[in-house]
Amino acid sequence: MKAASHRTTLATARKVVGAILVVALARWVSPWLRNDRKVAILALAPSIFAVALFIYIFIGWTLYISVSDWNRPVLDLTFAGLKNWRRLFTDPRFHIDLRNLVFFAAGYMTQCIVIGFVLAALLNEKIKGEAFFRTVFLMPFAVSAVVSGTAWRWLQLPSSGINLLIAKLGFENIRPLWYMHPQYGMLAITVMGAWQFSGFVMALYLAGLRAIPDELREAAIIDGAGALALYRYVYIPMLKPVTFTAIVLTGAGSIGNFDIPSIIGTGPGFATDSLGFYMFEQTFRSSRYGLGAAVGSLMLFLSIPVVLPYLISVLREERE
Amino acid sequence: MQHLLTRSLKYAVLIAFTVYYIVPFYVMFLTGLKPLENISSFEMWQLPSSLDWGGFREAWSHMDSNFWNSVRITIPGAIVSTFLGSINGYIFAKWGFRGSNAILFLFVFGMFLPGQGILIPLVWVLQFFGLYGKIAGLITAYCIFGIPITSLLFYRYYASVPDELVDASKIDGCDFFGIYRRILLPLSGPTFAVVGVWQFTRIWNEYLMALVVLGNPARAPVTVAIKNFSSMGVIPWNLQMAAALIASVPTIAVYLLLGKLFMRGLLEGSLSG
Amino acid sequence: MKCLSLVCLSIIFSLALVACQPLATAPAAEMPAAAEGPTGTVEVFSWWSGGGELEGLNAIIEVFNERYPNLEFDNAAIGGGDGVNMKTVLETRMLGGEPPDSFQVWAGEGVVQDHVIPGRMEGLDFLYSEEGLYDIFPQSAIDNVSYQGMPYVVPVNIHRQNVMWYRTDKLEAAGIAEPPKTWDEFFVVAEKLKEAGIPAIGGASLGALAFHTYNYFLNSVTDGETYLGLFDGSVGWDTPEVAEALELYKRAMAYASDDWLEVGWGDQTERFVGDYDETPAIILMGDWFWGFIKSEEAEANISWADIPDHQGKYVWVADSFGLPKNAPNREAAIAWLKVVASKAGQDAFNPQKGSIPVRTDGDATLYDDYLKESMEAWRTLELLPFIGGLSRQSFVTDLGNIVNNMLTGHGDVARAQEELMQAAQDAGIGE
Repeated sequence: MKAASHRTTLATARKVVGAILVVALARWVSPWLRNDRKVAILALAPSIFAVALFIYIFIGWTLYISVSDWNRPVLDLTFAGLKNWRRLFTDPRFHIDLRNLVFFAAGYMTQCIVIGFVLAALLNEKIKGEAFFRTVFLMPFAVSAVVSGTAWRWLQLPSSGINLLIAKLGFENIRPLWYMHPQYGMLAITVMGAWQFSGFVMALYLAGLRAIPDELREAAIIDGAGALALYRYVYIPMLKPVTFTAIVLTGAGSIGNFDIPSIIGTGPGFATDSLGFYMFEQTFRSSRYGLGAAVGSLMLFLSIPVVLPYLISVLREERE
Repeated sequence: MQHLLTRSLKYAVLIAFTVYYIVPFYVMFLTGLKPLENISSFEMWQLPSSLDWGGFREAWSHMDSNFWNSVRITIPGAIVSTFLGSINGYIFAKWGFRGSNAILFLFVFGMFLPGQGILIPLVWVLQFFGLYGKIAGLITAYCIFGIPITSLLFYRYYASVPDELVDASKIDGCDFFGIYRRILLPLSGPTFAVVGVWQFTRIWNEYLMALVVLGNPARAPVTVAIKNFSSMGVIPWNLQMAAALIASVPTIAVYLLLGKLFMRGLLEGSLSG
Repeated sequence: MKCLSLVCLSIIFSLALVACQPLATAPAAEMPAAAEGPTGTVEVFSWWSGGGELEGLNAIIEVFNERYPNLEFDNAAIGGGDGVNMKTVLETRMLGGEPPDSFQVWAGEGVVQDHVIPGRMEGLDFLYSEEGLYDIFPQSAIDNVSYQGMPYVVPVNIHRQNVMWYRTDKLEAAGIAEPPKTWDEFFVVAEKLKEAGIPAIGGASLGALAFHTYNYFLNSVTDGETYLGLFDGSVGWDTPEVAEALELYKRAMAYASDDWLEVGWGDQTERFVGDYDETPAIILMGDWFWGFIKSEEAEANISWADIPDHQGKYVWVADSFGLPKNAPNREAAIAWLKVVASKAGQDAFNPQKGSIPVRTDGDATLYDDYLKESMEAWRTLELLPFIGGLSRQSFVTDLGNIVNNMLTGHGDVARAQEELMQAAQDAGIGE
């Protein structure tokens, strides 16, 4: 009964708010429409409101839940201080997840950037069939990480897939455990992530390489620079902004890592667990909303050092 | 001679990576073609004894409604969020007002936020607006969380359009929307391609929010459906692989069709900075 | 000042945009149901999507459709052993204030802690009286689904969780006549099997599901009273039996196939019904496995017995359905619960699912030999709920994770026990 009345209250509240807004719109907003600058501001307003609510207020909300006592199915927003945070920092699974984050970021970022750069550099060498290679390399970027995890889970099955090929080549003693490895399982996950994303990094680098004026290249060649020197002194420095973008994208991807672990599972000794999956499990499987919110907030904090330099560079460009 | 050697080496590397990128697709296809009783982890690379599309058909019968859900979510989501970004970018680039730079900064800040940081309030607010559990709610969320990146990409592009063009058309009597429609929209084809393709794939491939916002397997999009294949007691590998491949067809098709435009947009520097 | 009003205006404007949507749809959602008999759809959450269970669910849906032709059954089944995936989705639905009309849950303390005490469920006294369930369900089952005298869910089946399945051919191959009755015997048998190159026991990295296996070992080293005491707080988790069970689990896994850490539970069950080098001679599993064995037509070489040191114990699991408050179609949900409680429903569901009916008037002729034996055991043995029926979900998950992490990771029994004590405290056991 209580629930039903809650529903009608909600519906009435929505109606009242809606009615007030329509009146407000008609009375105060219409005169504005004659000034273009004001129209611009009005057109931006829904986005401002949406971002303010869905990003900033939500972040604040999550932060508040992280210091509340809500760790049972019943909603309980009493202030509990740093209880959830203390619990988080003493949870052994959290320590493993931090280690996994380091593994994942290291493996994933390196693979994406190195593979992406090498392929872009090769494709920039007037290759026949460039369009074909480009399309193939970019194809995994089109598919979901869920798909990548599904396919690679089968390929990396220790009793199957790649290991069968290795055995066929005669190296029967080499039999990596891939994602089943109790310590380094996360590194196998990076292969799945990098397969999916490295083609996109390739595309970024290729775009960057094509943007380098031919005169620079020619000037360097006239100066007697070999291929390596050309890369070292001309291309790599010129491509710094691309590398920067790639680092930001893959770094943010590392922090948010969720899809693949949720396909693969947490693995032996939580070897393939991630912060994102831990948050999801604590919140929705164990109803520990406070603890889950603490993990979510921590992920937000972790992403700040990744995003902030990017923001600053955007701002700097704006000033120029 | 040496030239030939380095040249073949380059091709060898490229071909090796082609194999690396193709093999997972190949394995999905191969496994999808085998009936379940012929699937054993020890015979993964063996070709199927006969062509049997039954696996694909069965997978499709389990996921067809999810596939159409994905279509219903992704197409409006990609279109609305791309246009929203285009309008926002236009305002930031050509109608800057006091504080608009700060607002842009705050927008872009939201670009890489991990979804886990906002999930719980998201459920509440969607519920308040009567959108929880509904496809419209998920589309709303995707559009809003897409604002940062779409606005930034369009802003960057429109900022490179000379202001004189805008001023000239103002003198010609164009208003706010007139300038957008006559001057900027016709110029922004490649940017629309980049942003549209980006949003299309991001939305089509998204998993976490879809899982949380649409809590019913029949309403869920394909990503959730693929995961549900893997959680039956014994994993029906053939169905799951077939499903994963089917789920990838639309986004791959978009890349094959618009890939050139996408690359051109990238080349024009809208994403790489 | 101007700036402020601007901000206000923009907020109002955007609110209006968003508010229009629900304004249009709200009245439709509040349409009253037609007066005669329930109509519309009934959305039912379960985790039955795989072999055996799916057939069972379809059989009971058929009964439902016959009885209520005006209702459409929305089968929201989300697979994943023990409902690991379904439960997370259910929780998001609860958070969003949009529960399904009914959902699958284990009978016992778990549903009380996770759903009844938080005020999510409607009491079912009216249904139990109307349908005469108080007389037809065994008292132990009624007690288990009740909180403060009020029943909250309707159990549809009983599974026996503690069964030892063994391969007669594998035991013979190692010259073993009888399956082991105690763990001491098991280790003797396991050595012999090892010499014959046969893994004695099936194992896998189970994640949170490791609580099932731990449940077997715990019941081997405790008496019923201690076991139940661990969950009502009368026995602390620092008791030596807890560590003893962990030790035993660890010791037994030394006789699993070398690659047990690398394979999933699904692979183990496949191996057990097939014939591979890694096929284990023994596997511990609930009798939901029986449905799988039958569907693989592998009965010939497989037999069952009590788990070592489990003589006289029947550890049970009952899948149940309840009525959430706020159920969008309450009448339809009640209709579903009536079918779940009915003789026709239970006798359609259980022979397929490989479980026994909760109703004492089930038609025994419909059930196969194993299930007949299980029915007899259910009447005569000491009944103990499994861990999932004794504590809240968060503790079940923690327990499974802690045990699995010890087995597959650090291997330190003392540390695992310490973590278990902490988890028990966190779950408020004995409060």
